Amino acid sequence: MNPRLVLAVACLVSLAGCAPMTKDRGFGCVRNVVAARAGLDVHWNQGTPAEAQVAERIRRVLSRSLAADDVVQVALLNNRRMQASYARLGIAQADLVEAGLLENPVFHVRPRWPDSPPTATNIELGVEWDFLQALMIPARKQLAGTRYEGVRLGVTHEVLTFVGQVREAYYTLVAAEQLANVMRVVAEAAEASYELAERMSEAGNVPELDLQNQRALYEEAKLEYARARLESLDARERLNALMGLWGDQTAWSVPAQLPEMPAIEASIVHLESAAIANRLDLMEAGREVEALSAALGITRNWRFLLFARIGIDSERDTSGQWLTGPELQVELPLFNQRQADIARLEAELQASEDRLTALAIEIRSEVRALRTRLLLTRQVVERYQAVIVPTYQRIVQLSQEQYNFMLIGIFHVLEARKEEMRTYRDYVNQVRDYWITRARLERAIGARLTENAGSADINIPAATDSDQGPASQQIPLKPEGSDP
Amino acid sequence: MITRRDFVTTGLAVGGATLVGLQRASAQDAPPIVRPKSNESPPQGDSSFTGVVTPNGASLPHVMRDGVKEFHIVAEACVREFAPGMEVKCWGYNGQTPGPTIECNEGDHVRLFVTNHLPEHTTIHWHGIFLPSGMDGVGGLNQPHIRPGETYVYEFTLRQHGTFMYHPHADEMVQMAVGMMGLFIVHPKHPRKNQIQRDFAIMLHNWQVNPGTYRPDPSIMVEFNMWTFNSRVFPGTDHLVVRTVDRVRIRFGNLSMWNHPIHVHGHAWKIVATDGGEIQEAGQWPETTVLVPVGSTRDVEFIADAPGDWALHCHMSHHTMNAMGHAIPNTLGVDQRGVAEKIRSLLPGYMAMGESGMAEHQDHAMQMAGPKNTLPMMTGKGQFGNIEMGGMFTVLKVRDGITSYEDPGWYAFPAGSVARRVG
Ligand SMILES: [Cu+2]
Repeated sequence: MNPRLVLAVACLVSLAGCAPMTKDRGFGCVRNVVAARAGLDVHWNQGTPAEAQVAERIRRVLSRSLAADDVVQVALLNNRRMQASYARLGIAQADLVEAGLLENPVFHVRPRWPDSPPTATNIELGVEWDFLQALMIPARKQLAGTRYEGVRLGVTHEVLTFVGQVREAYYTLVAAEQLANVMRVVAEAAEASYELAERMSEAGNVPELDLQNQRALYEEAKLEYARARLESLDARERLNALMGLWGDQTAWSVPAQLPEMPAIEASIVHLESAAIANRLDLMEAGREVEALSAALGITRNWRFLLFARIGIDSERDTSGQWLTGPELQVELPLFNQRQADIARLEAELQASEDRLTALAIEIRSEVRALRTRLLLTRQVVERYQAVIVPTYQRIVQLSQEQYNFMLIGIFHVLEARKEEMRTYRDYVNQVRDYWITRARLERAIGARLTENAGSADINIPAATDSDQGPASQQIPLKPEGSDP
Repeated sequence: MITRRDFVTTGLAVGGATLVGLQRASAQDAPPIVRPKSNESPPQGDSSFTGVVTPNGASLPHVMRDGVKEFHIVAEACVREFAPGMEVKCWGYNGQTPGPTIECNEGDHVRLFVTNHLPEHTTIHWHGIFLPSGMDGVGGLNQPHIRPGETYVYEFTLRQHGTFMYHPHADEMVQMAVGMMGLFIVHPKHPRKNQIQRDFAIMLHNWQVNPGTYRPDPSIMVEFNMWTFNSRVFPGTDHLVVRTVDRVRIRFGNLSMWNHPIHVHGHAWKIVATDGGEIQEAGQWPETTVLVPVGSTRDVEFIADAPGDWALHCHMSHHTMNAMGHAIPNTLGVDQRGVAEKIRSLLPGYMAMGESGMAEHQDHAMQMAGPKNTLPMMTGKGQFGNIEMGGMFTVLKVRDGITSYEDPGWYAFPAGSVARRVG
């Protein structure tokens, strides 16, 4: 079992263990879960000395040909929108602290001057304190804790969703660059055809009609190539934005080809239940139900006693005599017995439960759809590899053999070569779809696919109290080259 | 010389005997099936005539039974090598296309058993031979079709001499397109005035064997790509070896869909007969090219008086080439420098062809891969270089004082007798 996972699970299960007002605002939990789920580091830029290390690490990663995990890692460390969403942790934690604070007592002084003798000043002094709020603190703290946990789950979910987006953007880019190269070959073949037709035209061997037909094909191929280039530039810019890069940092490169599909497909059994157990947004929605349920409980329990103050009041009357005595103020629930608040909370609770169920159903459906798509896309890719691409290659080879024996012309062969490359383009699109589907499926199940993905990331062991450990340490930087 | 009238009279006189023979014959009586191998059976001449040489082919042996010359012809599928490197799935007779040459003498009474081993019915028509109408072999018109597995017998007396042909007259379009045809030679009863020393029989045909395929396409009407002498293409064609001053006869039969002007180098010949009979000497004239029309035979004769290696070929130049595309772009005179390199980067091995003609093609084709079972369009090597031919092309080899008609190899040219470079 992955020790990080244990930590992450501990975070998830014993959120109370993350004491309020930690310096990292509970970010350590986010980091541990992301490490377990995505195998990657996150860093919250809070002006610590670790920043320099992070910047150096980004610089080093960017200097090599970027793999998907490299790009995701840089994005996690460097994307400012993600940094901004980490700040939600601070806000939520402030709410939690606030919920645990006693309300301050109220002091009042009230001097009064008589308009007829005796003319000594009447002074009234008093201290009041809303003791009911104090009695409610444990309940409110629990409620705020649940909400805080929800925010942390939400932030972590956001990180994992972001990871999925970056992966998609990465595969889109690698494919787009690969496709641009494929379309360049098509354009070159069309160019060669056109130039040959020009030479033939100069020699007086072809009518202008043939020449213009070749020209039209050439121009079309050039436009296709230009469009492919544009798409690759767009994809690159999207990734620059996701990785938070600008200026000199944008001179990174990715491999010329998409990675091969893994030879063995990840286990895809029990993915639905895995997703239900894993999805942090689902947990977040569950926390919302819990929070509303708690709020409803508090309101119900205290519906008749929502305002109760005790105090002490002392008054010096005009004769100089001090009158001192306790004070009690209680709201009499004659008319408003919090019926409206309770009804509102009941409705909200019902709505949150429905949302939770709906989300669970949607997750199951999404997982099923993506799983099917993954398997079908794999089949299509395998078909392209085993049959379709070799068929078009063979067609080129056979066309060339026919050309060699002067049975067909070279235009025919170049056309076959173009068709081969267009087929290869379709193949690249399918490989890209495979990887994107895989990234989406990982996002949908809230964990990486592995050979036994159905179970490994799911089992939640008993909580440990190790949560504070990694959070209080220096940011663990993975050594170079240890990426999965 | 037999007149038509004589023939009809004599035909009627023996009609009874023919019918008696037919009634007697049964499939069990048929002679054993023989599939003579090319060049294995020597010319079947006797004292009165010189046997026919069928280049790349053979004559069909017969058996004599009660004074009747019996042959057993089997219609069947066979594989024919057109030239080394190309084998074609054909239909033919007795394991070959063209079927073995049938040789008889004028006056012979012949009984021809025909067994059908094809997957569909067939018949045999005896092209040019005068015979009773019921023996003429047009399926449906003269006889029932010979269904697969059946054996029919044809029986008639040969009243004429000359060069005739046999072929199906049932589903002709398919059966002839895939090679079913043969020559039927009838030698004259009376010795000729001019004794022949070498007597060749060559069937002309056309085929569409699409490059990369093995079976002729029977749906083609005009656009053929293989042109054959006895179902062979140059350089697969046997050379015609003769001795100087031999009187040579060459019999051409044409069951293709084109007329073929067959041209001989170094000699002039005369057409001495057609499938309609002999041409009297007064009507013969010398020429170097004989046009062999579709559905005809032509017998030409000449004295081989010029020693050497002489081309003998159809003069339609595309009939002396093997398969070539007809819709390829014309690259003659097209400078491909610069473009060729670009194409090569896309198609490794690309070779620009045709800028200064196609002469270089034979050398290119030898280095480059082509479609399966397809011959380069120009091929063959002689002692001075590429011959750049194909199809209906062979070599007439005239040699002094040879004692055998085995292939003597290339001609040893006397010193100083070959065109030479002087500039
Ligand atoms: Cu010809």
